[in-house]
Amino acid sequence: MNNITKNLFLAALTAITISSCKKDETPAPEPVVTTLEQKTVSNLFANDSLGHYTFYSLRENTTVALSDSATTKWDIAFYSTKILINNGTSGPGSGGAAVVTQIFDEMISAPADSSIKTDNGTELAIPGGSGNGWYNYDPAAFIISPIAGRTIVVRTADGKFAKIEILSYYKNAPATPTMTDVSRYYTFRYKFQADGSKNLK
Amino acid sequence: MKIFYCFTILVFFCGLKFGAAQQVKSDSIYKKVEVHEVVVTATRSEEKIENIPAPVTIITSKEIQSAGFNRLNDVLAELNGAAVVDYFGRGLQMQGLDPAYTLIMIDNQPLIGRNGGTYDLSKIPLGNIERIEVVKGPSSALYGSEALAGVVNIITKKPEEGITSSTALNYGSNQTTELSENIGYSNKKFSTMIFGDGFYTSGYDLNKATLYLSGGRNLNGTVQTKTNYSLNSKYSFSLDARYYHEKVSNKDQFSENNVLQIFDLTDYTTEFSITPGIRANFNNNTTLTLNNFFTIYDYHSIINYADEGAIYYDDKFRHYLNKPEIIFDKKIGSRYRVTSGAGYTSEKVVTTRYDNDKHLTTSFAFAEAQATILKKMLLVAGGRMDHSSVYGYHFSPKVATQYTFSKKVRVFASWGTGFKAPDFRQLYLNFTNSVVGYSVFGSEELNAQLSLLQSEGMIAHVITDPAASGNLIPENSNSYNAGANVKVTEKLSCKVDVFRNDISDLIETQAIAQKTNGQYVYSYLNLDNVFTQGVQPDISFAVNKNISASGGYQFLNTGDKQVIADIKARKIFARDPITSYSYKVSLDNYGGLFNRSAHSFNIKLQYLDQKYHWGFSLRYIYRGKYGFADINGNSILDSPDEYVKGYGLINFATTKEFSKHFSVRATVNNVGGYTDTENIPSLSGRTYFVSLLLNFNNKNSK
Repeated sequence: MNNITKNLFLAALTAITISSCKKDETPAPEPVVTTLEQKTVSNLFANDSLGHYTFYSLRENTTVALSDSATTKWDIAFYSTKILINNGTSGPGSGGAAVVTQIFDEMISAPADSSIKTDNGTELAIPGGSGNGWYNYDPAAFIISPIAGRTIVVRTADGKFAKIEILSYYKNAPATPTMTDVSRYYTFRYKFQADGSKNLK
Repeated sequence: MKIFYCFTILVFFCGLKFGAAQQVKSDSIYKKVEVHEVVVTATRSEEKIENIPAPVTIITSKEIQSAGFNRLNDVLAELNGAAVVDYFGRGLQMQGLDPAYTLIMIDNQPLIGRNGGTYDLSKIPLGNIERIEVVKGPSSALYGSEALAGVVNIITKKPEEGITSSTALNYGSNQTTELSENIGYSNKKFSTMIFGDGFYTSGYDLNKATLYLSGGRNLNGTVQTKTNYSLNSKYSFSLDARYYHEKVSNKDQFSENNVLQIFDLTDYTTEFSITPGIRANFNNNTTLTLNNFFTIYDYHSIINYADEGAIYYDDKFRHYLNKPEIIFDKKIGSRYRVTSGAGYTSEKVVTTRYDNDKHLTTSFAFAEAQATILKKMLLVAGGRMDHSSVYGYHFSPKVATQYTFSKKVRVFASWGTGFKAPDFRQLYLNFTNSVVGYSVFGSEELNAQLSLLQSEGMIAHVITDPAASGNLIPENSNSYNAGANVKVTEKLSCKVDVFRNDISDLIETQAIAQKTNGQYVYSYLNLDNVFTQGVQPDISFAVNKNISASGGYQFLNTGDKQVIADIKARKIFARDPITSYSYKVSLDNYGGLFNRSAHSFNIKLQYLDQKYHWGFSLRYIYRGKYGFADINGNSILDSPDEYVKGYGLINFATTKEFSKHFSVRATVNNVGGYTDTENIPSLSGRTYFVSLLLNFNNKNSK
């Protein structure tokens, strides 16, 4: 019995030594990577009470006035759960979008042009409807939740690329929204590539 | 004479000879009775527990009485490896499977009154229970549909010789009042037992902020009879009957057209069954049993406006089932036995939920053979064929073996399949929510209803082609069970059971089409494949003649195979609760199926003072943390906030027997007063009860 205890103790000791050895190892130097700056937009109001879309410029990281809606100053526009890009039936720009099942950080390059769609009146590049595009609707709880793991790649009005992850549809982005939370407040993070390449790291 | 002609009791007692040896003579929990542990559920005929190669548990009336349980759900909540879960009533989760997958029987006949798949165990009073047999693992090879996780068979008391009467009066928390009475008469040829039980509770409320009571007011009554007449040593007739009626009342408040209204919620449940039977005992080795089981389950749910009483919602559901059955049992020498049987089940449902009356029929035949070879090895093989008017043929095989090393050690292993037929709702539901506008159709209604909606231009697009998925088939399980029983000493015994169930073609709701109003049309499809597996050790120890202790534990592991494949393919995501950023779910985060505790255990201590005839029963029942709902939107259990905290309950009862006619019992359940208002409304907090038990027997009293 004593021997067993001793052996166990030795085994435990060895384990500790091994694990502490690991800790002492000097970590390999991290490769130097230049990454794009991540920006977060909070509580962007997109209520239909405004009577119009809320237009947004990803390059400038700011909203665009309604009077500029027919220009290429904006890249995406929000109206309740609907999201437009600046192209096709929605605007004069050369925008486009693809909703990709990939987490934001791993979306390091924009997909092929063929998979980037434009708005054509009946179908939007970022499709509406529960489960089709960026959100799920829970009819029992009346809650819109952005689908985890969906990243939206946006081609801006001037043909540059950006990636967006929508984080919340509710004011102040509660982790678990309830019916009493105020909806139609977008919170999203994005990265914008100004050099015209597809690199979205 | 004529009256008795149609009477019988059957399958479960093997002639008077055995029956007499098995009778428990008195209700006293102090009387040492050498109980012959014989079960009927595992083989459909009497078999000693040590000859059954399956995990079998017997709960005796003595245990029930000394623990001070109120209703059947209280008893089974303390069964090792089981949990009582709340979903349309208190149902039994066994081997990690939902209540819909355990067959519940009284005296070998099924209870069909299920709501949402659950048979509410709190409908069953305990005053006339002789013992409860629980067989874990699939028994579809004998019983057909529903017996995937196992079978619970409630065996009611048989009358003792002479006139007997036992009365129990129980009063306690929440104005819970129960009066039950058993009156029996028996002579050499004729015996009859009548049981009556009345139960009332005012309900309880954990959340005073809402009008809705956590536990509704409940008034119910049971009447049960069991009569047997032996014409001669060969033929006997029996008649079993049961009637149950329940009224559950509650209140709620919700808005209709933006006006807040108060509603009265009332649910009425009525159950009735009658089973006449004939039993022929050709010689000691051959018996033939013929019976006809008829039952009705009626459920009526009404929601009234509290002010003027007008009806807001009215739902009626009535299910009839009739089943003639013949069972033949033959022993060949001491080493072989064959049990076989056949029957025909016809069912009808009349309800406001379906278009018109629905019928279905199932014919079945089963056989099981048992052989003892090399003195120590037992082999069992059997199977059952069901033929349904809806899903066609279904075969359920089973094989099992046991090896007895000595009187102290036996090991067994079995393989079998179980199945659960699609229920009426999954086949025939025709429901459209008039407020929100979605529809749910049973699989047999879907094509016609979808075409109708299409012709009315109400369908925007079809998501899943109903023709591609075909007709609903039964849910199937493939199960392995193995176990070992070791009697270490006269006082100490241990057992361990391991199990694995692979269940395929689980029936789930699925969106079939989207309507032009944006809502969906749902139906039922055979979709998911899940597994449950676990290990369950038990230990029991008789410290001395007064004190006994036992402990049990279950480790349970469950999962959805598609979810696991998707996680491995890195296709399942979740959101960080702080940053809301998406991340990929890893297999380590996956908690398996909802509502399953990975760890659960119980410790029980019983003291029975043989000299002064008092005693107590103290139990600690622990249920480990379990998932209750998806919060982070990926529909799987993967995040710490999706779990209900684990909790333990201490239950205590003490009994003093003043004479063989009169005992008093005091009970405190949930001594620690544990509650979880949000997640476990079925747990009422600490409760107290006092019970008076009266026994009378004209023979005993002489």
